[in-house]
Amino acid sequence: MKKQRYTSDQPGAVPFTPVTPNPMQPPSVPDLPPTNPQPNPQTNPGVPGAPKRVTGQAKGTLENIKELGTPTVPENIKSNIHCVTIVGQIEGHIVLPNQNKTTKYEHIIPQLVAIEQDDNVEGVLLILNTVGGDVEAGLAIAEVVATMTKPTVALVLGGGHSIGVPIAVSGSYSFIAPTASMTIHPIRLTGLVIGVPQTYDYLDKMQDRVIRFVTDHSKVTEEQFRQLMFKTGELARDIGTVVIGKDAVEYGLIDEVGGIGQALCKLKEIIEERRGKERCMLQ
Amino acid sequence: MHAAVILWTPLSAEQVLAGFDDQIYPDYESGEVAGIPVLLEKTENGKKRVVRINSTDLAHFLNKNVYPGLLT
Repeated sequence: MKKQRYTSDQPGAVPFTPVTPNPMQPPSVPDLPPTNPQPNPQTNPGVPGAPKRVTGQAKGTLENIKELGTPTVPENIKSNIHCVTIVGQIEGHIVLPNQNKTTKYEHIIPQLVAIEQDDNVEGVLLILNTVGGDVEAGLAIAEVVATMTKPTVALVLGGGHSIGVPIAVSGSYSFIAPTASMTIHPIRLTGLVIGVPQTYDYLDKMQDRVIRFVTDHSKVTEEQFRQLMFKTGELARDIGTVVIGKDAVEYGLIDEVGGIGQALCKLKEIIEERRGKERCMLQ
Repeated sequence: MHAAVILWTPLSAEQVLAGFDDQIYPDYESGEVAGIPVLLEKTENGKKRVVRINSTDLAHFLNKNVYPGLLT
């Protein structure tokens, strides 16, 4: 039954009657806690060892720390730029074991398609810190980004290794942080491999697909990229090259060295240019 | 078995695929969160985590309130 609170101004209200102490009665002993209270986390949240019941804003803060690693996250930011982060392993057709941090293509691709159709989004900022992963999944993401009509700027932070390279060059413009690195090395086949020439032809074709994509979407030449890919003496356990910061720009893989500020400025600049072109077309 | 996975990464395949054969696949179920069809994973504490958005409405993929990883 729902309890009703009575006040004196309500019709039929029960007037509040203060309890007057009886002068003939000795002063009552205040309620003291029992000598051996039974700890009950449900009823005695203050009992040491009992889990604290966290509610309201504190609960939201705890959730943020647990899920996002920070107590507060900026809210209500109205932006015409959508940020897509590609981190860890790029996961493809097989779910990778739990020790991997992954970016799944089934999360990214529909998001990019939605961005392409959403009139409120005018540009995409791609943030990369990836160790590579599934070749086909990575190439699929790179192809979607490359064929989007909306401006896209990629920023490589930390690392944009292996299949991260085609994704990094897929945008309208690309940046690399001065300390970020990109590993360029040959593609390997993992798992059960049949040792026949067709296997190697297939690998060669796969490698050509990647090389063609990278050379088509950046200033690096095919000859230069193959040189970087098959260089010996640079990597301890593999052949290939690690390019860091400005080296990536010098090779023509990435457009500019910069960080988040430069990337956002460039994206806004491209958005403005695009708006100008649309205005001209309307006139 | 992981035949013909083409991984292109500086990490070794042994490192990436460690524990692959012993993986316990989570208990998935289909459901809806805020009217959006999703694939849910049951977690140990009785909650459910959004694994994937199973929608043909593209706007659902840009919904700020429902995203992969969300605990419901």
